[in-house]
Amino acid sequence: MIRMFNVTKRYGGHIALQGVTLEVETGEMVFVAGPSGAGKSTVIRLITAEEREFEGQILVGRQNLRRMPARLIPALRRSIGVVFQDFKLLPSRTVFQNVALRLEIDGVPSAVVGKKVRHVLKRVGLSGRENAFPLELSGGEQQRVAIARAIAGDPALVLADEPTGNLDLDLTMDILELLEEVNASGATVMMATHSRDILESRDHRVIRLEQGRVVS
Amino acid sequence: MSRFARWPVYYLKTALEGLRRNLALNLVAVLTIGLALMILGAFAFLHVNLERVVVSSTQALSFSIYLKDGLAPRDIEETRRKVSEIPGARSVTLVTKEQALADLRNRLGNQSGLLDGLDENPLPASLELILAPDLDRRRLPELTARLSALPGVDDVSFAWDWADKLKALVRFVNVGGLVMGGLLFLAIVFIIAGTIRLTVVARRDELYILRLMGATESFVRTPFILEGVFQGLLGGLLALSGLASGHLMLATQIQLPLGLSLIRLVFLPLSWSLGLVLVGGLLGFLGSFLSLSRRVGL
Ligand SMILES: Nc1ncnc2c1ncn2[C@@H]1O[C@H](COP(=O)(O)OP(=O)(O)O)[C@@H](O)[C@H]1O
Ligand SMILES: [Mg+2]
Repeated sequence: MIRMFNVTKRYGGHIALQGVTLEVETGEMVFVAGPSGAGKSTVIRLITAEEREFEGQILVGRQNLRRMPARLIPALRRSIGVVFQDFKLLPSRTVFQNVALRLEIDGVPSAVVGKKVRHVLKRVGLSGRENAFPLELSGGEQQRVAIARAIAGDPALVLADEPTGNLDLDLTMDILELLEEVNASGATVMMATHSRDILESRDHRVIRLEQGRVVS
Repeated sequence: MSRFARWPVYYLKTALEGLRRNLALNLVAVLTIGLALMILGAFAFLHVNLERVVVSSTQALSFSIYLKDGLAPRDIEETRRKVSEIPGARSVTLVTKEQALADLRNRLGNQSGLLDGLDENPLPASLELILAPDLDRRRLPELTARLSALPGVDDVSFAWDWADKLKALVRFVNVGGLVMGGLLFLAIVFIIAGTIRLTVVARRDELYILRLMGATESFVRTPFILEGVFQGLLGGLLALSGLASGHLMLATQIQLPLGLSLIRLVFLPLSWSLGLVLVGGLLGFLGSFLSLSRRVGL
């Protein structure tokens, strides 16, 4: 699903990733681990083509990101669900609208959108909260909305960048289980984290980064 | 059906929401656009009305030859014969003093009571000379001199004297309208570009998230474009209703001086009225398009 060969990413003179080679199989769930500043988020931003400048090769699905023209970026991103530490929900829209937006972007017929949104909200345990606004929800609930939004379009790949960074341990485990369910239902999941607790509590494969290099 | 066909509802909802969210700013923008378009519309209004007057006055190339008072019918007939021998003359019609007074009564309409107090008819009899339309206009001064010199003739007035002045006025209104129009178009485009830009910047986080979710540029931008178009259309409607009430006031409430009330003011034709609103929409499109040319977020 994801292959990086000898990828180097520089910000000006600063090297964020150096010679990173990694592979994530379709259907796999992996952690990308490492201390703050190791380059975890950079890996994710490269995969979503948010960062377009890099050395080396990146393959996502069948796309070679080095050769992919800019006009194909939207389609690439529609095939990926992304979850962030700070949720990135739209505060002026309800839970329902936040999730529906994902489907509207995908061009799902509006007649089907409502049904799909309710279904996916049920999956993440938020039935009945459709009309709440994000800021009326707890952090754990907001992250569930973000996950619902990420998986609403049934993406083949879900990227989570420290999704539990703002949550306490109980909620962290809930979110982790949710992502494992998403993985169990077929999606490839890559989750960045710097938390030892998480890594030790699960036995998914771990890609360790330190100062921009893969160390194990 | 393509995915594009399913988006209008989203676009419309998002655009209206954008208008509502920045209500104060958008209202000021719509008011300003309305005012600017109203000025434009006023020029169009002047143009249309002046054009009407000019057309009605220049259909025929004609002289009014006023006769001295108290001429005998035989003298009048003699003058008439001489006038009809003028080169280029098509027809000569006698308008007697009585006919002239009846004409004036007609044109004054409900104000004709003004004439009831007259002891005697002050209007002269005249000969209306109609010339061939293709007559060389450089010959007109010579013709005027010849007509003035005829016996029994008191005064000669050529219809084009004032038609030419009117035409100059129409030209002035047209040129002024075009210049003002150009400036106002620019102003409107910039007003809309500015307000849309503010909305875009205020919602940069949202745009970032939309693009990150794989929204195409048209998906991201169309609501803003629509928002600008709505601003322009609303401004156009505002201008139109302003002009309509202005016209109504001129037509009914304000007593115009005698001469002017003879000219009945007409409103802009339907196509022009629609045009004004559409121009508003078009300028809105241009403005918001311009404001989106620089990218914000991701
Ligand atoms: N936009 C940027 N401009 C400059 N440096 C950046 C930028 N983004 C990340 N970096 C640097 O790249 C390195 C890796 O960052 P990041 O991928 O965010 O690490 P992590 O997510 O593991 O904490 C850090 O040293 C960070 O300072
Ligand atoms: Mg990070």
